[in-house]
Amino acid sequence: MTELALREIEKEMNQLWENWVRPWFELGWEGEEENFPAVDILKAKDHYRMIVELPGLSEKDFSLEVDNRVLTIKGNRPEPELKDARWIRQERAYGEFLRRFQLPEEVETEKIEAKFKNGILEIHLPIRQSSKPKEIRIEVH
Amino acid sequence: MALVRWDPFKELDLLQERISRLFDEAWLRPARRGERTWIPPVDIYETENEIVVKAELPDMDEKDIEVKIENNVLSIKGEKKLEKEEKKENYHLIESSYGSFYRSFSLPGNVDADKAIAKYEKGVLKITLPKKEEAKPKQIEVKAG
Repeated sequence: MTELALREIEKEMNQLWENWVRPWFELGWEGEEENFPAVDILKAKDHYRMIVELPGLSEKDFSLEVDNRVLTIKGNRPEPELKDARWIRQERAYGEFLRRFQLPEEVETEKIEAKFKNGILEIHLPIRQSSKPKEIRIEVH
Repeated sequence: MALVRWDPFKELDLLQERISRLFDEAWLRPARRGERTWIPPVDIYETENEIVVKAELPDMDEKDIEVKIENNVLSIKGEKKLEKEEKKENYHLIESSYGSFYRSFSLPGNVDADKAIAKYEKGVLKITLPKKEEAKPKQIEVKAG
């Protein structure tokens, strides 16, 4: 293995970091379950779409916030209080949760929209469409 | 000071270890690529009059969920599809579970299967299984002799 090859790997790793990992880097989570709520991120040419699974929750149980390119989803799914009842099996996760993501530079944060249906929070994040390069006419004197 | 020979392989090992850690921590950790079956989490509790089963099935259509009681066994099955086609999207991160699922639970003998009710709301399937009349505890009045 030559040093050159190592440098190539390093370069590729840096690119991978810059293009894939750093945008959307998860900045933190809190809660009982590491992976709750589950998040999918999809990318198209002109937008990203985040799908957050929040089954059993109502709008008032969670909040969504974007501050300084950091998107935060947090809320609480209270454990049901059983009166005159007993648990036979309990597999669902309860309690407070928080997930925080760094948004890529290209996201237009002012235009983020979200909707909630069937336990799914869908967040639409438009990508800034860079203006086409403008040709500058050179006057010849 | 002892001279240590430079060992590029050791550095490569270290690099590899760092890369693996990066992937584990950053985002391949929760991804379940290629896995086509999943196990939806289920809560079950019992009250005096009924047994309640709640299964987490976010982002589904009720017609894609099948609930059956046969030979005193409750089964829930269906398939959750990935939808992304129409918008020409690529996956960046997948943590949600998708594919087909199947769960089954044997029921106690005191359940009245004919009166079972299943409802899908807010991504949760709730099945209420009433107990048979004779299975409910009865208060017996004690009379003074």
